Amino acid sequence: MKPLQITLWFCLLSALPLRAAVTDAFVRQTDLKTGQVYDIPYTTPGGPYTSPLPVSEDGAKFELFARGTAWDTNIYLLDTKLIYAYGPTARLSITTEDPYVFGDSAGGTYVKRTRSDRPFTITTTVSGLVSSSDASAAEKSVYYEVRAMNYDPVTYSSLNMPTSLLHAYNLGNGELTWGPVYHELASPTLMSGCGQQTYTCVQYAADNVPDTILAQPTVQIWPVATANIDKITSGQVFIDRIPTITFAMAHLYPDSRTYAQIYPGPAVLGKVGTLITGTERRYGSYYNPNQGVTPTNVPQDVQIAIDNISAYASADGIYTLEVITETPFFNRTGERLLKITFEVDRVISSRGALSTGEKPAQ
Amino acid sequence: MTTSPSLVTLLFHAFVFIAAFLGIGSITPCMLGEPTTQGSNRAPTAGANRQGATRDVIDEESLRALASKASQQAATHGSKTQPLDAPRPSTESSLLTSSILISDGDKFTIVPIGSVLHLPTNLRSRVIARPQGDILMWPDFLQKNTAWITAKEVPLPVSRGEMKAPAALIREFSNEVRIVVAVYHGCPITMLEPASNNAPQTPKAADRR
Repeated sequence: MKPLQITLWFCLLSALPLRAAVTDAFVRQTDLKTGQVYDIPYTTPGGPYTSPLPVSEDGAKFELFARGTAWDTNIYLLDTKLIYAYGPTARLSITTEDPYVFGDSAGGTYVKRTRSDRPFTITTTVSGLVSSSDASAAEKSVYYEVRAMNYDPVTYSSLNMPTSLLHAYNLGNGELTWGPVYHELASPTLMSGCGQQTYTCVQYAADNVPDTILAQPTVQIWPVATANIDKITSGQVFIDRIPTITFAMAHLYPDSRTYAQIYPGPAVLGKVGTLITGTERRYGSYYNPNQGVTPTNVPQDVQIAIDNISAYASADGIYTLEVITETPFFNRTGERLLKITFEVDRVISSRGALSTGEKPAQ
Repeated sequence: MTTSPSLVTLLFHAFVFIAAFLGIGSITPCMLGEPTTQGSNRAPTAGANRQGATRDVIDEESLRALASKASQQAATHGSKTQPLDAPRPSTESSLLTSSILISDGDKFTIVPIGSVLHLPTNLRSRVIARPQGDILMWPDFLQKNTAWITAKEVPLPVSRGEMKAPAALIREFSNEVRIVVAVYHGCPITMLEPASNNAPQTPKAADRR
């Protein structure tokens, strides 16, 4: 037996931001013949990894595991490398409109994200398989499946949530592009989809090599944001001071800027009005460039009470109130979540105080 | 005496000046108690850095139509795949099934199955079946819990079952009151039984399941 010294390249650079000083990952080396397991704590964020344990001619499996960041205490398989005489390779690429990626997208296991109304594309690339008729299943194909998991719609947590199988195939050599596709989560509506879809490519067990995950990326799907305003409806006429209203904004995308604006006149798409002070919310590093750390990676729900809407509608007339959100989608241009057009007519109020509330006949 | 009103007036004017300097025009109820860690409430300037909305957010009916069309197209990809003619392989990581979890009541660590050389009876409850609490990687966990867990460096041929463990090594941990984990170059490693002929080797350590 001729032992080999193996240097592998695992990249944790983006997987473990700002946690370089803490040992949050380890490489598990499993000898394919004996099953002997060796755990090596991994502290360097990225770069080559040299196994101190020789690799036998039968080969070895290397798995990179890491703890999640911050409150996420789950342990994730970030990458797998097989050092083996024969072995297929598989690469799964997920393309979304959000540049966010958790983990190393060049590796096999990472997380991307999108919104439930936006399409995304998966590309599977497999090589190293053989096509001879006497080849075993492990030599001719790799297993590919898609699983869905709904998150808790209130906490956005994946903790203890079950998964369901959406699709399962065998793949041969070559590249396949699946998409653009939309999410397939079991949600009450497509727009409220909240969960993840995980794409897994597995090498079938053969010759002492157990079933081995070759790639396992995930795409998180967050719901489309919603906005509601109480105590004010479209077409409503205010003859006195507008009461305190509450903006209820739900599922604000973790990379977003959302605000309410008001302008005189009926609703006009694209019109820039006056931003209502206190309604603006910014999430994610793009909209908070000076914060240094991304403050959230799940959607946000907020309720904002505004008691001085009348200050923005001092003159009698028609006004439109809008809630607009900007996200990585549509090149970060604004999407209108809500529009309400109302009227302020205080003249009627003063007349009504003198006589009746009815408008005079034309 | 008319000194106190002037002091109050000065303080008030100082507050107004500082507030104006910081751009605090008015304090409205909505500005109190707002999140400071999750979202930021920038002092907005009307129209600044905004271009209005370019579109209305999509409605459910339109989205269903788009998704249905995309789904039909995606279905054609199934014809480019191969039939499933073998049992589905496991897509779960084997981490838990190939590991021993050791807990200090607050945090736990992971070591390879077969790496626990010695497990005193009174410490058996430290070995847990499922993760409890946060994980602490081996070197940090060992450093934190040296009172009841220790590591024993073993030669590689011994760990692979290619050579019998020296008697001194066995004596050393047989009287140990702490949990003993086999390590090679400081990292936990499975201890294998010596292979007889071509029989597969198995873990021989105290944690064998």
